[in-house]
Amino acid sequence: MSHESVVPFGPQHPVLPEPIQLKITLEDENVKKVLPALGYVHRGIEKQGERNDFLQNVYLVERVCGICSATHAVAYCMAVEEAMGIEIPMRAEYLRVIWAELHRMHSHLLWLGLLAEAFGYESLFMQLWRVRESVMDILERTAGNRVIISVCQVGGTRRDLSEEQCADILRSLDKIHKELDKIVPVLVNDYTVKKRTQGKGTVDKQTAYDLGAVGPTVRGSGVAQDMRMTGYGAYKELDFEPVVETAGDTYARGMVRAREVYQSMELVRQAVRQLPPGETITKVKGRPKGRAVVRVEAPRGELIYMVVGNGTKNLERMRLRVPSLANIPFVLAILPGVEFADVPVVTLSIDPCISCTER
Amino acid sequence: MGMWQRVIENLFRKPATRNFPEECVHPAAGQRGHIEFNADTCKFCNACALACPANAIEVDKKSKTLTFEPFRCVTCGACVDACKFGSVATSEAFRCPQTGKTVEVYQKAIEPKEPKEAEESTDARQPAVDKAASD
Repeated sequence: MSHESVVPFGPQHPVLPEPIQLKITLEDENVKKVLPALGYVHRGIEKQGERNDFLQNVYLVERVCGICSATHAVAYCMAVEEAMGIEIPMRAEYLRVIWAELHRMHSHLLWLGLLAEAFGYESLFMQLWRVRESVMDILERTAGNRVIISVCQVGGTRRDLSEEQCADILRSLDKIHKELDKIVPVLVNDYTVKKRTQGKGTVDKQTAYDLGAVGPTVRGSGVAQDMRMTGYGAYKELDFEPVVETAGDTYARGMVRAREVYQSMELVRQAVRQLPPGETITKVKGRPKGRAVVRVEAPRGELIYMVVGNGTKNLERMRLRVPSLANIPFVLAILPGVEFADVPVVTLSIDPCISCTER
Repeated sequence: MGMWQRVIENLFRKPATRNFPEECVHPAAGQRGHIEFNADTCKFCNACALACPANAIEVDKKSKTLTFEPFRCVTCGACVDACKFGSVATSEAFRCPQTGKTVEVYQKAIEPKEPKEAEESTDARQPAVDKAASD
């Protein structure tokens, strides 16, 4: 005689960085149905974006998410620059890449720490976040702030990196690399970690693609989809391949993110070495008119920005499609069948960023 | 073996924590801690208030007053970029915690006006010069 019960997962849960409620209908210990409830962090950013000056919107859009904030700023600036037909200097493109990849590193390190904490491995969580602190220090020294860096502007970047700052970044990255070489093998090879993550929430390649998942979530199932390969910004001049794993379970999605930290470090090193001389900002004249759509690779996946200008200093419409919005239906489809004790880990494996989702 | 190596290493390593308050963390150069206004060089042109995404600045040209609400400010530095006269700057230290929401008002000292030269007047009223002198 099976017993059915409804348990609310969230909105407050130690595993979730932001509040989302999943009403889980259980049959004994297995999940039968999941009903999401969003709306806990809705702030009306898209509406406020229509009331702000199009130049002020960069500061608004950065605050959609604290973890991937520079990616939002880059995407917005790219969209407005495309709508206005502005070409920004190559040096600014490289600087944006450097800061965006540093954000990817700190986002993935944050997620790896949360993964460790999800099954109670608190000391590993602390060690990973200790390494993440070094990345935050690099951001503070180069951009002026740890979390919301406010360096991207329509027309380029506000700040420049001096020779010493570039050397400092490379030195810090070497230290971070050494620390990570000690910690990441623990996460990847530990027997308990494997027991808790391997075989949980397995999705094959075609289903992951059909469900519309993006980012490391879909790359963990074997689909080599990475928006950086479209060559926006300075990525067309950098040499890298998307990180793909084929197993399709939580462990594979975790491995993708762990390997992407190393990939981002390599990208930052390449960008710093190839940094071309020149200016970092072009003067913005005129008002945005027309529509522009850009896709960038945020730490959680494909981020789409649509900006519609009508010739005034306010935008007609600013629409963001964040990667977590695409990944939530994925999680709703894979949770049925999973055991209740694995629900936090499987939900976390898509890297839910609900403040992005609800803007 | 790996664990014992770590144990012996840790016996001779210095602590991972800082000896606060003897050793403090100093903010990095260029960190956006808080915004400072200089009322003396300010021309009250309203550029900073227009640039502010958080509506934290209010400028009144007539009374030469700039009202700044630090609790609305997000230290983005848009005002610093907008000011052409160098009257706004970021400073590295964070603000101290406050017990209530403060508002900072910067006012430029208004100099008393020079008395105007008297004009020829056919009126029977008091001449303008005497009137100004008695003010």
